[in-house]
Parts: sequence; structure tokens; C-alpha cells
Amino acid sequence: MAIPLPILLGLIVVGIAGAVLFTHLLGWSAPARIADAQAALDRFQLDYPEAEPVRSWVAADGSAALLQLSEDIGLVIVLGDRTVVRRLGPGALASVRTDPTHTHLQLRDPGFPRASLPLADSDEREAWLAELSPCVQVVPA
Amino acid sequence: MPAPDLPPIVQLAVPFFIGSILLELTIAGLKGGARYESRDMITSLLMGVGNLIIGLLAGGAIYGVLSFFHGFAPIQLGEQSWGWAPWVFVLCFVADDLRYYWYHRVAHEIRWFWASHVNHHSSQHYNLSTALRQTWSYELTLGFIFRIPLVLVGFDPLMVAFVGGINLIYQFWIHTELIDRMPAWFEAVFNTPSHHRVHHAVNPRYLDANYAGTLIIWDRMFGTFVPELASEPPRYGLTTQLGTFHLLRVAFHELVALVRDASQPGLSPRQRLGYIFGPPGWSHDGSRKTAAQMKADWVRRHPEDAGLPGLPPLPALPVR
Repeated sequence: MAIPLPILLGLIVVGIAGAVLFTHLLGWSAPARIADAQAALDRFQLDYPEAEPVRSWVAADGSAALLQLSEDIGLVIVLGDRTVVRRLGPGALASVRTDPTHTHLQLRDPGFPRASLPLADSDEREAWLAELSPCVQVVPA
Repeated sequence: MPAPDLPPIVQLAVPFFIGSILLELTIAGLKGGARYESRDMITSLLMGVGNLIIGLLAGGAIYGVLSFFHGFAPIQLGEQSWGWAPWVFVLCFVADDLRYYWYHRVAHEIRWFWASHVNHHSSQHYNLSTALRQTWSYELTLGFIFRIPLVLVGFDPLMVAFVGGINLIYQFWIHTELIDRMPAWFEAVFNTPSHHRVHHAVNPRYLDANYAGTLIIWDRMFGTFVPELASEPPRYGLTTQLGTFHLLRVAFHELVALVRDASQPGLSPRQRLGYIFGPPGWSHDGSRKTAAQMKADWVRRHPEDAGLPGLPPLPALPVR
């Protein structure tokens, strides 16, 4: 009474492709957007209610935000139509790399391996790089 | 009595799963009420495909293990003339549902099993595709050992697998926001979309609640039932949300983190075991929070909620 394997596979492939295409056509591939610093803080405080940032940065395209907390850095990143946050303390980052348009963070978190921040303004970027540097893991010699 | 030719019901349900998702998408597109996101859905569906393939590949080995233990049963029900009667299936289904409750509870309260079950909770969405976001490491983390008591008391391993499949299919339809509440009598006895939304929520009051598979009575009996409140809509996913759609990371991130935590230098054996068999969020230095600690934190910030379902009482003040 089993479904023959080729038919089952065909059903799965066509079903997944159809459902994803349908979802895309409905407009549900559009990314979320972090509207402003308050929105970034509101999202961050859902996970860390006591966080009180002293400074923040929100990407112009709304794809990311950084919050400077008293001891750590708060990271808010858009993932699909939702957002994800992390608190970056000492050793949270494996590396930080920059190019002319983005700052690329490699996290030590298996569930959140990397994030790209469109930190285009060089002064802003340098300021945040200084804040992020204590978060980079120091590999013992 | 020879075993009947039981159908592979999970395989047979695949067209129903796909059709239902397309129907939910259509209704959501027309009327709203459910949220989908394309990459999230692809991830969920491919996790389901992977689970199906791993289940097909590992099914024989697990059947062998269960058959081995079944050999020690004082009575092998499948060998009796009445062993495959409908009422035996019903009895086995209820017993398996109780097994599911305890497996599921342990899968939330012990990190070793959570490292597998976390896959199912890793979407921030709650829709029918989320139901198919299934683990790839159930066999690796030995989740099937919770079925051993069923075969030891005499249920045939084939019947145990069959009713387990029915339970899995039952749980598909409850992963939706389109249905608010079922009739009161149904909500009292069966697991429903409302009860299961609570289970998938990360709001502190909803953490570690509503472990039921089909019958919600187990949560009511064992004190883990928490009702959904209109005043507090569920937020779905993990208390630390995933920052990737990469399938291998979705599947194995918690196992990798567990191994990394337990093998870090300078820990005592007890601390290493704590990272493996303690509750998710346990840490040797208190740098992370368990669900119980998150609930306590919530009550400290919202003392008016102390003692409500899903939340602890206010901590006693020190006597002077």
C-alpha cells in the first residue's frame, strides 16, 4: 500500500517547489526592516529586558543594528521577515573583517555563524570596530 | 496470530501534508491569520524530507533494537489470537501517547535530548510547514529508547511504530494560527492548535508547557498545562533564536554547542555532565539561563503575575 518511491519523491519536489513559489508570489519573501533605534532596542529587550544602551546604530537599509551596552555589544540582525539578537561579550566573535561597504562578523555561535553590517561610514565603522574588538576571541599563542 | 500488513502511514500522509500547506497558504493569502516566509518554509520542509529519509534508513535498526527488547516481554501481544484487535491498537495508542508525553518532556528538560528536539522549535513561525521541521538526530541521541517500555510490556514493535505514526500525523494539524479554539470538550481532552501554540512559544510563562502529543490530559495530570492567554500572544521559536537557515546548522547547532561546552578545558566531571544532562541553558558559571530562571526573572519584573499558570510564586522574603 506504499506510494512508489519515484512518485513520492516527485510529489515532495513538486509540492515543496509549488509551496515556495506560491509563498514568494504572495510577497512573503520580503525581509523585515529595523525601523529605527527604538525598534532595535524594543526587539533586543524582548531577549534582554534589562539592557540599557548608551549608543546605537541602525543600518540605513534596516538590515542590522548595534547597541552599545554598559559591558557588551547588542547585535540585532534581520533574518527573513524576523529578527535575531545576540549579546556579544568577550570571545563571542571569531573574527571581524571589513570591506568598503560592510563589516563582517564571524561569531563563535553554531546557530548564528556570521553577520554582515552595512557600516559604510568610515568614522562610524572605526568607532564600532573599537567597541567590537574586545569581543574577538583571543587565540592563545 | 501473524502481524497484519500495516501501511506506512507517514509516507501515505505526505500528499495530505502538502495539500494542507497549500490550503493554509491560500487561506492566509486571502484572509490573513497565518504567517509564512519563503526561506523559513523551505528550511522546514527540507528538514522534514531529511527526517523522512533518515527514518527510512534507520528504521530497520530501531525495529531490531525494539524487537530485541520485545523478546523479554512476559507476554507478546502480537502472538495472541486477539493481539491485533482494534482495542489493542487503541490501548497501544494511549500508552504510546503517554510515552510521547514523557519523551517530549525529557526532550525539553535534558539538554542531550533537547539537542535533537530543538530542530522542531527552531522556526520563528508557526504554521503547517513548522510541523514538518523535524529532527535529524532522533536516532543519534537515542530518543527511541522511550519506546522500549512499550515493547517490554508486550506491544508488538510494528504496532508501536504504527501508532507512533498516527500520533505524528495527528500533531500536524495543530501547527496553525488559523484555528483559534476548538469546542470546549475537545480542548479539555485533546491537544489543539491553542495548546500547542503555547508549547512553541518563548514567552516565559509558556516555556516548558503542554508537552502532549494527542491527549492534553497528560499535561493536566502532571501539572504542565498552561492555557493560551488572549492578553499574551505567543512569540515562537527559541529563547535564543537561530541566525541562519543553513540546514546542517539548523540540524546540529545544539549538538555542536553541547560538545563544545562539555569539552571546554578546566571543568570538573560534574560540570561536564551538567552541560550534557542538565536542563538547556544550564552553565557552570551561571552565564546563561534555564527556563526556570527565565520564569523567575519574569516574576521579579512582573510580581502581579506570580503564581499564574506557567509562572512560579514570588520568592519568599528573608525572615528578619
